[in-house]
Amino acid sequence: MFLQQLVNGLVLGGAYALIAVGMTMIFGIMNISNFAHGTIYMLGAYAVYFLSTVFKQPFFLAVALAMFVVGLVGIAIERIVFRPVYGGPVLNDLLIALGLSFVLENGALLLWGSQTKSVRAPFTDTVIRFAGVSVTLQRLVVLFASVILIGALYIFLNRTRYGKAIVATAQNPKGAALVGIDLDRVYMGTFAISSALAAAAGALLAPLFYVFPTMGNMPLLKAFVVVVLGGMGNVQGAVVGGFLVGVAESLGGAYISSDYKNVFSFIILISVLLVRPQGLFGRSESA
Amino acid sequence: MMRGRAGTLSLALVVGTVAIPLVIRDAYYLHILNVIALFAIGVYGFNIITGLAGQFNIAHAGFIGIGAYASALAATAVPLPFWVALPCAVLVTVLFGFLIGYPSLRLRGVYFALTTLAFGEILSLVFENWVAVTGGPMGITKIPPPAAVRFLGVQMAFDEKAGFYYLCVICLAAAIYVNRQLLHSRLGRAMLAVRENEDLAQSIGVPIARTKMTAFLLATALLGATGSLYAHYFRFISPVSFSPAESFRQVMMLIVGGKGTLFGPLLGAIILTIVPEVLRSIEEYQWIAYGVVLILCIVFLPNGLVGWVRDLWGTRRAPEAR
Repeated sequence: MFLQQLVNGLVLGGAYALIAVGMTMIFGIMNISNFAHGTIYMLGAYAVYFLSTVFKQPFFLAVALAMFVVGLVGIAIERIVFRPVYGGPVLNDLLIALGLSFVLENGALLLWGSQTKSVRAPFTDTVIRFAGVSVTLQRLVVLFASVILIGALYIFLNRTRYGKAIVATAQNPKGAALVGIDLDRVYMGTFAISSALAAAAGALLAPLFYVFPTMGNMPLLKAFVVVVLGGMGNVQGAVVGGFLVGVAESLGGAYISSDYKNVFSFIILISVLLVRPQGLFGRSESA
Repeated sequence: MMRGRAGTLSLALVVGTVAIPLVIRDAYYLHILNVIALFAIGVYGFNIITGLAGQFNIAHAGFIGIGAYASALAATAVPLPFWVALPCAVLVTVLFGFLIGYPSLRLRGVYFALTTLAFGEILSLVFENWVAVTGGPMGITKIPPPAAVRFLGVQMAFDEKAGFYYLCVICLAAAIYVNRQLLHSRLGRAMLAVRENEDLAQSIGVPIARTKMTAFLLATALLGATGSLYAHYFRFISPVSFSPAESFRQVMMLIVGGKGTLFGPLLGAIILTIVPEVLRSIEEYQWIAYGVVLILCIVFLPNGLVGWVRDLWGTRRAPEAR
């Protein structure tokens, strides 16, 4: 039972980490709390639905294409929606992001309807058993794919010129601009990467859950809790926080109450704000 | 200098407002007026925390829901008369405001917005699932209307639309008055200072956390009153009316009308109540249209229609009226 829930929690945590990493990058670099990130996750799930179920592409190719397409959507969003408000009051960023999430969610509702859609993947029926734990291969695929994508992001940020430019901008935007880093390109790349990662989470989880327009709402909240828990803008923190929240939710749902499993993350959020508002790995700032 | 003209204008406004139910007899139009006044009270609360203090409360409809459920339960389960249930609802809502504000308003940045976003979702889960108390998706029915009152020898009945109109208008006038007083007071200016720049505000001795908290408690008081009036006007409440989507409609009222302005909330409530009524035939497009309008407003009219009109006239008022 415990091991089983632990594995389920890790699978969920991997997906939360994918969503939260992108969100925390956008926060760290542009100081935007992207309320539309849950709808980006939803777009990823729809993209994989159309590619794999409607156009009959192999699942992994569909996931990769979904990441690419939604990454482009992220670039468009950055250019069209967020660019006009850079440097303005934080309140305006929040309102814009909220408006955007309504446009995307209700756009999906109008285009694709409210009925749930399901995605077939090659591993949904394969069950693996070891040490009393039984888990579908698809869940393990989610976990491994999350780990691989996060690893790839780590290498990108630390080993490539573009990635280092993004890290430098997060540390000090003025300094980065001063040494010749093109901030517009950094912003564009950040939105593309974070949208692609959220899309990956949506695409990978699509065979496990249903696909529908409001599916991103709860993951959005979870991701915000993860971002706060890990320290806002902290990528490593978001990864660790993602797995922590996933496991906490899974264990809490199993041992305490499954009806209110969404409330646990809210309790985590309030506790972090009370006890350690800078997050587990955040730099201490006087609040 | 404008005292004479402004005085005449306000008198005409008051007479006009009082005379409306005597002229408009149609129940449908009176209902629209009541809905406008009802929601405008809440939007004035929203204006205090978001327009003046610059902190985004996303659980707007959720707090109205707390007021509505508290008032409905007090009036049906206990049962208390409306005139006692209303202050109880306000108190309960303010208490929740304190519980949510305490951990999140001490901190800078977006923590308050994130906490209220999560709280709004949790509230709609609770409204839906705590069937024993909230009635679940079926809601609470048979909420009694406010009892009639004898005032200056006139019997005022609130179980009809015209009577309720006066009740709403009095509460709305109080809400506008609170906003007006804030715009011209030290506390209100402290809120604006916090909104514009917390570091600067702190350096000149503004107690940031306390100012934000005061703004939020005032806001939740107005939201609680809105909820109570809502429950006793419709006499039926269910979770749908207090969902995060409903919050979004009320965000629109503030932003379209003009955040941080004195008459923006009222104008926004009027527009965002009448336009959806007129365009009922294309209702399914309303949310996507709201989203687009919100984005366009923030980019082109950050201070809403009221702010835009003021800019057109080019009157450079003092910064607190901005």
